[in-house]
Amino acid sequence: MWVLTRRELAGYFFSPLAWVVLTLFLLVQGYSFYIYVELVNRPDAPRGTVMQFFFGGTFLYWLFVIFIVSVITMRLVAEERRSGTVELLLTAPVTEAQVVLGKYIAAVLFYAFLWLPTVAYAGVMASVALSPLAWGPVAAAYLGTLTVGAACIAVGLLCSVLCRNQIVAAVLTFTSLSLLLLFGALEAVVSRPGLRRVVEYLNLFAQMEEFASGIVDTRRLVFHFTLVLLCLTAAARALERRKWR
Amino acid sequence: MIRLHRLRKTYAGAVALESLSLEVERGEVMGLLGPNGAGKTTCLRVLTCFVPPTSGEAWVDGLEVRRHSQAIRQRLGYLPEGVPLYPELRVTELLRFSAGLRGLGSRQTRREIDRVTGLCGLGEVRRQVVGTLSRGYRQRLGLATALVGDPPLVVLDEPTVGLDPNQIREVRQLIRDLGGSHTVLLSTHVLTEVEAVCSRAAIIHRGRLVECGPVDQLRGGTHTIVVGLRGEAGRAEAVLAGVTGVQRVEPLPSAALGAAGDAGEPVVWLRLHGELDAGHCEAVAVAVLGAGMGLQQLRLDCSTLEEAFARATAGSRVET
Repeated sequence: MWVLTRRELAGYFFSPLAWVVLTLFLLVQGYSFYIYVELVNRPDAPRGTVMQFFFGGTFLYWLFVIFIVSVITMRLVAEERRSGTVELLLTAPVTEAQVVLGKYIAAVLFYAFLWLPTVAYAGVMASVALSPLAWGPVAAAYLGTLTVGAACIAVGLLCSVLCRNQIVAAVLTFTSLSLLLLFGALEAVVSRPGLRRVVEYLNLFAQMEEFASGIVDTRRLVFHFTLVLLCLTAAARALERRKWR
Repeated sequence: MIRLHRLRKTYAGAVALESLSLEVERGEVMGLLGPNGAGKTTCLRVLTCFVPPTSGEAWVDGLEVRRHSQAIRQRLGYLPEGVPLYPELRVTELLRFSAGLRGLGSRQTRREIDRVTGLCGLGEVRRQVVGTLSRGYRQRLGLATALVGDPPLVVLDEPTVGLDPNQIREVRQLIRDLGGSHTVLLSTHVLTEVEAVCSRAAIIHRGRLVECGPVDQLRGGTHTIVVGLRGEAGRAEAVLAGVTGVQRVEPLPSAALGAAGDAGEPVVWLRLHGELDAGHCEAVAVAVLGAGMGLQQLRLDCSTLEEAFARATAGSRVET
């Protein structure tokens, strides 16, 4: 399985796409960090710290998580199907589950690599802020970003298994994750208590706001883990079924 | 080593394989022939556990493809059609990846990379990125990835496509050398390749096995003798029909052979059918000269695999 992860990571770093994604990601994250610093310095600024806004306080965060996940997962299996290398891979002595897991781990590592330079923003805040930076909420926010991203990547991987064309896979991932995100917005309009609890549980906005405030709720982690497990199992089964077609 | 029993495969209702039964012995080099769409690649994909049969059974080394897919994949090296490779990797990285999939340790991986790069003539391009390789090198690299780990069964789909004549000769020699210690199943359109490399061949047409056996036997093993002589046609036919071994005398149109007698007398062209070999040529010459006719030309025509292929797949376009 590690050999698959290594090859997938090589696929990311040897392709221009990865570097373009990394550059754009840091450009936009840097710009949004600057906006939040400006915002917090205004007298009429809403309550909250810069790092709190940076992690999930606005729609900008989600737009980029969904966009980035769609881009880094679209090629995972769809590209192998298009180029025919899937035949090489699936006639080798590895299971479909190993293939899915190997690719998934590589995508999560690449996603984490994209976020890594943003730790510098927290460092900047720690050095220039008048009050000492609370590292606990920052660590919780990174944990949330990682687990939410891992869940979204699992959805993206499933979409990539289902599509032969990587653009179609990216569009399907973007749409699926957008719907999942917007599902949480129903919390404001649902009045039935039972359904409201379900919507509340699945509300990604609220989840990241909690993480950014330093609250690590294990129910959220269970939700992310369950989504990963369901999507990876479905992806492995779909790969097996499509292979055998 | 390989046993297919009444194998059937359909894709969305379209029949790709129909009741295909075939056996390949251990150490044999078997050629799989057939026109486009005959089902060759589907047959290889079933054997390599890439697609399941709709019905019937496929066994590799005593293991059934549906039940023991992993164990079978451990035993085979496969070069798929079109040689799909990862273009961003270097040659050695791709071979290391292939070795990793087979679970080889680092020392064994290094040894295998050295072995297969030497075998397939990849020494010069070891550090080159796969995407920049020429078609011939890509083909050889595909072959090398199939040979990593020295699997006992090697399945090759069109292994010499894109190679120059010298490379083709080298690859054919390599496949011949694999025979004996490895079982090789190769699918090809190139009939001369089967004649040069394979001990046995199977011809598939419209998903069915139409011919299978040693290459010599497939050719038909029967030869004909073509005679050009000066004399009266009816008499010549009667004389030659009397030669031992000749079963039938077929007159040939002289215009098609593009020859005419130099003394103005027309040359009569005849093809002699029967259980004939080189020894009969002498008897034919003696009969012609003994009857007082002039012998213009005499040759033994050996039947080719191409003819056998055309006969077996009559009714469809034949690619050679």
